[in-house]
Amino acid sequence: MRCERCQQLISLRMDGEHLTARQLAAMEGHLRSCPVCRAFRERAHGLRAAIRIRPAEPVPDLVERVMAAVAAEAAASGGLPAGREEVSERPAAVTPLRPRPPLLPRLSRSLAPVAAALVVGFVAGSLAVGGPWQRTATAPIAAADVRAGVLRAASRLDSYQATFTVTEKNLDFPAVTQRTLILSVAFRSPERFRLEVDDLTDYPGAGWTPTDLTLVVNRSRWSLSAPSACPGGLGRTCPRFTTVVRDRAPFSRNTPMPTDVVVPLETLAAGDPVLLGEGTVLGREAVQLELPYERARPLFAFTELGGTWRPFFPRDRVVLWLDTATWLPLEWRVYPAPGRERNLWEQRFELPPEPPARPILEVRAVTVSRRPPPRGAFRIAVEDAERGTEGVRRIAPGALEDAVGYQPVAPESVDGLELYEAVVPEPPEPRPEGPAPAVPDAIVTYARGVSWVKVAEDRVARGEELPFGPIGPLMEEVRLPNGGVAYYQPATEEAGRRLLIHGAATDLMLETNLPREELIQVAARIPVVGRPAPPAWFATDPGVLRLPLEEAAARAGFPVLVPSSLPESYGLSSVELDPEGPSLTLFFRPEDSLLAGAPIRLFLQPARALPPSTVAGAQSVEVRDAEGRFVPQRSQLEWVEAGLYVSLDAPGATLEELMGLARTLEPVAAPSPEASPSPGPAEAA
Amino acid sequence: MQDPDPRTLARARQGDLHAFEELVRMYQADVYRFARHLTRDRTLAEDVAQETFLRAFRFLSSFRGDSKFPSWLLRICRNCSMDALRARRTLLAREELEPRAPTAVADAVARAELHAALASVEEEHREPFLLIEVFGMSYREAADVLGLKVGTVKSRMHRARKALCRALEVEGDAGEV
Repeated sequence: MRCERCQQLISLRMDGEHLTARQLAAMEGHLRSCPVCRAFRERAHGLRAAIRIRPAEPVPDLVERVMAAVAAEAAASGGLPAGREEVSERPAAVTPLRPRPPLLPRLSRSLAPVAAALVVGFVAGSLAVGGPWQRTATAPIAAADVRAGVLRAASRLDSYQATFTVTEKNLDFPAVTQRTLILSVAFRSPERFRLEVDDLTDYPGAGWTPTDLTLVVNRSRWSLSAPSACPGGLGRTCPRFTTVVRDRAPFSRNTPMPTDVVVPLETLAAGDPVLLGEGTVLGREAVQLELPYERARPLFAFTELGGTWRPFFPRDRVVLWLDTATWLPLEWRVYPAPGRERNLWEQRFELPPEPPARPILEVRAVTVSRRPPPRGAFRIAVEDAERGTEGVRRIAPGALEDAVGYQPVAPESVDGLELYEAVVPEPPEPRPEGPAPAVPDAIVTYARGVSWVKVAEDRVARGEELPFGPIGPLMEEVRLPNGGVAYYQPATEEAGRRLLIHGAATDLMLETNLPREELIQVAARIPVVGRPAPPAWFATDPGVLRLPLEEAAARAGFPVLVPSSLPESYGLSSVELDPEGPSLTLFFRPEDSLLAGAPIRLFLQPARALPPSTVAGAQSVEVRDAEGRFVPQRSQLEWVEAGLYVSLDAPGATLEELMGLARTLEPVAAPSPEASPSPGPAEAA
Repeated sequence: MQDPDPRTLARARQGDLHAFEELVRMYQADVYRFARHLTRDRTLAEDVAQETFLRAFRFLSSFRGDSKFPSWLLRICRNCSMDALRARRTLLAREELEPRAPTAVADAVARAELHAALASVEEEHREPFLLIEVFGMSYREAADVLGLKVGTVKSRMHRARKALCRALEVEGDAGEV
């Protein structure tokens, strides 16, 4: 018996699974001769003891609070029961902000070399060198030009190095109202990246921990060294941690390589920005764009790696200057969003009032160059403790067939990207109790510049297990140009834009940081025609059907309302019909990135009256000439019109936004007789 | 986790608030702890727990008994936690290592180690581990809560256990790898 098998049996037994006499005997036999497995058993039991025996953390008594809210809901018919105060009173006196200090208050330690680099690097740098992605005409720029330019630059940038100054306001008011940091970035296509933050702030005391951090990505290895979040709040010493990961999966989100600082591909893939104008930054011709913080988040990925940073409101305005010759970012600032909601948010974060005209974070290039970074910039020190592995094995593309057992499907071409690496995830552990865990057989990666596409394939484990997880309501069925069906998911925190293709003999998952259209083009060049996924693959409740909108509307048995206009970049992802209710749930979400906005859910069910409110603090509102209710905690608007209960909710949405959406609801157009309903998963049943 | 008295459940489903209160009393600690583990934030966990029971109250009539009531409740709790985390994503990063009230120094150290080890395990492995090891659920029940196949839960549980044993081993015998 192998150790791995023995340890699985130990695990199963601990969790109350029945082992056969033969399994038990084999396990005991192996344990007698194997100190490693004995140690595993001891530790596993020790772990259980530590967890189950340790004093339970005190649990607050929530009965009164919950029941008050439940009772309010049950009783509510418009009255406003006294709810919990959501927002505390603003302190009476707030120290006004000091006048804005000069941008670079003092040129201290690390700034001196930066200043030198400014002269040498920037002036003599390669920014002036032409490239095929450069704009030739001087005609006014359109948003689509910017997107296209960034996309081209993303696939052509071979190397890059830059230094930025970062000025941050109100980290901890009033103790630290302004910080100055230096951000240095180096990149070598496709997967070498270094990001360093050097904190120059004069903190009020020695106990404060500067946010100094270093991230190095070098193909299969990844290392991050940063202060951890501060236990006990700011102003305390925060221990530093260093993580080294080996056998990293190419372009893995668990071990991120935040390249939007280099080329804002992810940021721009999330929809067209608003163009504010053109001008000159650092002597370069540049275009100024605006987009909300929630869509520009990839530009601020360096604040999510470690250390301490101020928070941002999702709708804060980000103003970004892009070099129109190279499409590289030169400067970006965050301005507070106007409005009461932002003010309440400030109070929750104990921030002082932040006027919309003053930037709260400013990142400005000092030097930008496309010269290759020096050797050694991407070195990961060997003496660092190895802490983790992502468990993938790199295989020479020529040897892939031997390693996997078949020749994986490959696109005819990947839009100028080149074959980069092929990896095989850790092989599934043999388990007679059930099907093998779902990992793809192989992942083939194509890359160029900062752009990448991964094609993961799974042929071996075709059975009960879903090869790439269930198909959730935010995944949309799309038609590919080759006539096949695929399931598309916008970018998430964990993954890039994805496309699942269920072929007759194989299952594929494509993933990319390129925009949706590009992904679909790549999929069209793969010689597999996707079929509708089996019904069991959908993450719906039992009995609930996922159907195309027209079919769902035809089968619902009640009039169906849909929004005639959606927030920018949003689209319908799926429709679920519960025939027993009967009820219909429609999901809408941003088409490119789920980080760009919360999903919107529209629930419809025949009803005569509003169900009782479940939350204290619900407000009575008039919606579409009907008596309705807004539940701020849930960002939910609900009402009954013409015998139909309608509920609209979207995490974080305001009453005004939901009302605006509600106003656009219209009965779904009856399908014309000649239009045949598109095939849905139900037909595959 | 214990199943509720079917009579209490039936009364609660008919809108009996006293019966529902019994359910809240019975499950509030589990719901709060699960939310606490998922959100790693005390205040947020309280809000999530409240929201979980409110959603449960609201949709109790649609609970058809396809899964066990505690699994159904924790599934709601998980959804509420995800919603809350999404809404407060920016804040989370700085609260990840929120300190707790230690009862004794040794205990605090052990807890901190365990906490750090748990934090090092991937989310998809941590969840089954919490449900099985902390809440004492079976593979089937954990699969119900997480919407996964039993086989997947088994393998993730084993991976989590292996990863944790390894993490604690490294912490314990500092330097030895």
